[in-house]
Amino acid sequence: MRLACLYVPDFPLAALLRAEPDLIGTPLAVVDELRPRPRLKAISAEAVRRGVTVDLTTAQAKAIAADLVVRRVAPGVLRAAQAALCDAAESFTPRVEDAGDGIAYLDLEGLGALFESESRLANVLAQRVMRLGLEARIGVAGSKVAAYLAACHGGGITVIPPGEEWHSLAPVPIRLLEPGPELAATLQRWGIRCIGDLVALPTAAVGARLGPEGVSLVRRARGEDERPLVPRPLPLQFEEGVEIEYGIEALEPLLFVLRGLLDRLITRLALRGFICGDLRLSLRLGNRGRDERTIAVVAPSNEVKVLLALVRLQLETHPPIAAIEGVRIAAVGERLRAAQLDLFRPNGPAPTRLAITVARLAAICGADRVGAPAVADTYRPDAYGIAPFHPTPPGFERKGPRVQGFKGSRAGDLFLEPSIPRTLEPWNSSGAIPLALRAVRPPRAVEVFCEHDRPEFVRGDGLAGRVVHAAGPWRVHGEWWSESGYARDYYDAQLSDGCVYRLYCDLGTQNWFVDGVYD
Amino acid sequence: MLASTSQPSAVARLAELSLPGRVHVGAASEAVRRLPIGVRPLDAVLNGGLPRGRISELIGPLSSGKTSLALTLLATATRRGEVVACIDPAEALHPASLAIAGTDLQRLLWVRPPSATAAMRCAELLLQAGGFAVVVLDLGVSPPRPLRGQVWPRLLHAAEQSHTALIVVAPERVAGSFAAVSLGLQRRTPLWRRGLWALFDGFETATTVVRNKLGAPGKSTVIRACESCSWEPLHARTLGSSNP
Repeated sequence: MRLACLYVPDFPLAALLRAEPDLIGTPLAVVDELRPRPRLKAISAEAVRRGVTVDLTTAQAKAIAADLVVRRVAPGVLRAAQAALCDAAESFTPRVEDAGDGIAYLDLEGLGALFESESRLANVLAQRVMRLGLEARIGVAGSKVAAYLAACHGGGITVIPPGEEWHSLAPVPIRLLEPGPELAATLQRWGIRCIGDLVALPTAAVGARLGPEGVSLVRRARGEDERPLVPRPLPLQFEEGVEIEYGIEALEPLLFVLRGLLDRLITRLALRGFICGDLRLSLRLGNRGRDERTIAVVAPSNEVKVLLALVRLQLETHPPIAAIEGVRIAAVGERLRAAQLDLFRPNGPAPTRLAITVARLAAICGADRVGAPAVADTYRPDAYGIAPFHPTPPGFERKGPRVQGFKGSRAGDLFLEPSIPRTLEPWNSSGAIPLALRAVRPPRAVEVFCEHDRPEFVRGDGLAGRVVHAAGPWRVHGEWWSESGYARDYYDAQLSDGCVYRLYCDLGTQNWFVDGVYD
Repeated sequence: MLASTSQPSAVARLAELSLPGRVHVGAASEAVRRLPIGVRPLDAVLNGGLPRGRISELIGPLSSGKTSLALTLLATATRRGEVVACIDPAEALHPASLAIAGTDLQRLLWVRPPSATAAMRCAELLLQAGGFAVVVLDLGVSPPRPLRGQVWPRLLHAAEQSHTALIVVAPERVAGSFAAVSLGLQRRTPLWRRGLWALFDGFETATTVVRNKLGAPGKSTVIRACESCSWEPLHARTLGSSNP
């Protein structure tokens, strides 16, 4: 079995530089805020050049280098960097173990056919990690611990040929195996400083003197893993985040931050062969609140410009109520679906442009007022539905629309299948077209004078006339088991103005309404 | 006036400036593509249908059949596999009527803007998006007055660029000289089926080409918007199959 280890040195610093690339080249230090007096956990090369060392307090470090930038790293930034590292590994194989703190292992089984050598594979792996904004050392060996030691001790890429682990790792210092403080002191006292010295000792003798901890250390030094590689479950969504030092109140600076996040997110998705589906934006507000919103991406796309336009429209429509101090954005990865278009049929709107247009329309009208109409799954005459607008390419047909919700409809009703004729229209040659109703929403209350239970005169807001012809009643009732039950008598009535209206009398209240005009 | 020898270079120069087709030098412009309504007598009157890339108007009072005609147009386009849109500030669209007309509802984008001004903005966005065969702008029973004068040239320009037919449904002419075709509908007689129970069947409507920049105006025909020609009667769909 061959394994590779990805190891990012000074991981908190690397994660911070990935999230905020403008800090590259500055004297930078990361503090560990969990300690009572925060001390420097990792420092950049620029800071080292100015004489700053790890474990100083912030005040001590500032006394040495006044221009030192001291930052804490948010857990979300660390999580995103670790996930990006695993994504780079998963672009090769699904068998990836997330070991945390900038370490990931991947199983190289079966990859030999794709790369001429393990060095070549490691090179490509390093390039992919670099595309995600991290710089990793890579070790390739026959076990996890050997690969880890090779990555830690080697400069960039270290490949240990099979069976040569002992020989190659002999000069590696024992501290990389992270023995306990007492054990480390004992070994120091014995003069055992590198792995070669430890491996040369007989295991039984080490066990007798150092106990189980010593035996475990010897086994690790020999390249024997304590537990096998445990692949992580494949992620369902990808997330990036950043903490902002000062609250952002304007849209443009926020979009600048979001562009960087989306850039990194899309690179990760593209590495895994996904395209970006719906986005989930989470904003940490200055008033200790949180603003969560989902941005529907109608046409999944990996174009940052398109996604940023959708986010902009969402934020413009519903601006956050307070300054923003932290941003997290998550995307659902979707598989790219190939569609064969027809040479002889018309093309529809370009998916990405359509997505932006629908988002813009939703910003003007409201999200629930833009979509594909749907016939409601109910007998209620005034019910209608609206479904997300996903036009199928010509020649394709979807089995039934996905309906978000019906106005006035209830779950469990019988479904009336729309019977769309599949042959030529019968009205095509005769000059006859199907009659359409022009809905009046909400139904307009009118006063109707009846004679012998037949409407004779209609009077209402902007409407008055004698009934010239009338047809009906059609009694419609349903949903009697719920509060929204209805019982109505419908009439078609031609008034003296020549128009034909659809009227109904609510049998519960005996009120009359106009709910449509035939036009 | 440009000499004929300079025509190719002028056209090429305009193409370089990303303005192909904006200025026609000498020769006549390309033939107008038509969008058939799907009603043979009416298509014959309109020389094949309403023009793409132009503004057309369907004008008439209530119960004149203009909504039925607009829905028929949408149905015909979606049945050809094209994507269409309907801007409906009055929220008057009746999905069951659409289904009965044979519209593929998944290819119809229904937009319900809160006002007529927002409706104009929506129309412009849809035309600029491109790819829509028809955008129906239903200005309802009483269109707001005055609509801003700059709106129609902008909509016309966007329609020309995207080759989308913009159909304005209104009780009277609103687009002025920017409309290429105006089709006036006038109800003649409501059709009632007599018998034991009277039933409303539809209208007979006189359709006249009031304005036609692409042909001769004044032609007219009679169409019928009626239930009996539907595959499924509107009453059966919306009010159940119970008899009065």
